[in-house]
Amino acid sequence: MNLYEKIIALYPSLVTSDFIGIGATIHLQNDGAGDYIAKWEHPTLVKPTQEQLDGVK
Amino acid sequence: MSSIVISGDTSGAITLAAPSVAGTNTATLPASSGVVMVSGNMPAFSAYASSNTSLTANTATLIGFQTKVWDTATCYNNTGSTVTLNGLSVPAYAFCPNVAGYYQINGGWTTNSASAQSFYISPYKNGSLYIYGNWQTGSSIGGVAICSSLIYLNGTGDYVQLYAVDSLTVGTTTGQQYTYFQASLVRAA
Repeated sequence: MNLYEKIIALYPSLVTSDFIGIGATIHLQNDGAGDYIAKWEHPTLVKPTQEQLDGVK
Repeated sequence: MSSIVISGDTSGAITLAAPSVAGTNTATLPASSGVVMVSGNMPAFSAYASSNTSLTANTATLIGFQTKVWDTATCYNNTGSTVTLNGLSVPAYAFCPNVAGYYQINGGWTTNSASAQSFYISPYKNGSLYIYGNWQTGSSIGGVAICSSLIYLNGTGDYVQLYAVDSLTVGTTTGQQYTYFQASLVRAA
């Protein structure tokens, strides 16, 4: 399960427009060494911790 | 006289040469100061993806452009690791010119999925989003997301890379006509 899928599992209410395009508040990025959260500015949902992400199976 | 040679203060020389054809030619200099641009100090390159870059859904991903078409000043790193070019540290798949100025940046990226999706490609300057490229929506193979931008690069380490985003987890359609990265100096600093 990739990072995006783990985040969706934690927060099913998130949609594509939360991640990409004008007004996106969450920015996932991969510079060649794996996906990571580059920006998390969602107005109501808090950034998941690494422990939470690791716990998603 | 077919040429004028101006010797340097310490070494070297500049030669102004007339073409070896009949006729009169005039080069008029503007009433302002600046750096004369010649082909030797105008970096330009073109490269394309010859290997797949996989993208996770909704994740801005550095795109690899492995095959150079040209690279006039060896300023583009076509590998997935940081290398030193012209004495500058250049990250993976980055253009890092050694001449300060304003550069025209062009890029294109094509998904390899035929499913309905949205995607775009954008230039990143020094690791940060610089400007959005056009947004392709509901497109499959045949729709190329493109970006075009003028970006100032200082010639001492500023670099540009291209990142693509897709609403699905997909791969890259490779080939010069599908997924490409180009840059050229438009005006010196």
